Amino acid sequence: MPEPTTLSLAVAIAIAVLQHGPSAVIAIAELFKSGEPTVEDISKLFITKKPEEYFKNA
Amino acid sequence: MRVLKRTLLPLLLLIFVLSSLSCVKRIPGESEPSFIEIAYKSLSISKETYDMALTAGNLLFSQGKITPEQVGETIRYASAYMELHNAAVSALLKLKNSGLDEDKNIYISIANDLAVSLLNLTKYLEPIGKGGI
Repeated sequence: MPEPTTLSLAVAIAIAVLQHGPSAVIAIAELFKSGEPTVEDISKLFITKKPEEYFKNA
Repeated sequence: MRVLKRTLLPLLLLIFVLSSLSCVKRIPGESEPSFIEIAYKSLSISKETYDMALTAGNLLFSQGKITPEQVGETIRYASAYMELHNAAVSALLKLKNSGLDEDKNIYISIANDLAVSLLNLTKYLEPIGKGGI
């Protein structure tokens, strides 16, 4: 029987995957991946989509 | 959506803080992560949190649960967050190339501001997600 916190985490991850698909999977995988990131890896972390682009119909 | 607001955003915030503090549990036998590795993971989660928060905000808006004024305020908080996040990524790149303690301290300073900004964004979005307008 898993602990309640473990269960909550599993449920939260499942919701993330259902709601956000591959991007959530990639983010979770990045968190648990080990090894020194390269300059290219770090460069991919820049946010390029501005907030107003999420609300195009506002 | 309410589940997302109540569960996921605080969870991501917690993971961000924990990984920043290097408290994420390691697999036995695995070597300790470097500062850059920890920072990289924190910023990966930071980017994902930004995307999730704004995607959720847009969904709430399209459902008529938040007003244009609230959208404007969300954009204001998110813009400040995006600016700090990108500054942190630039600082991490600089640290990766130089390895200097001075650059490490600059990154830490920006990351602290980023954590506060994330808190502001999620604090603003949480009551909206619970109650709508």
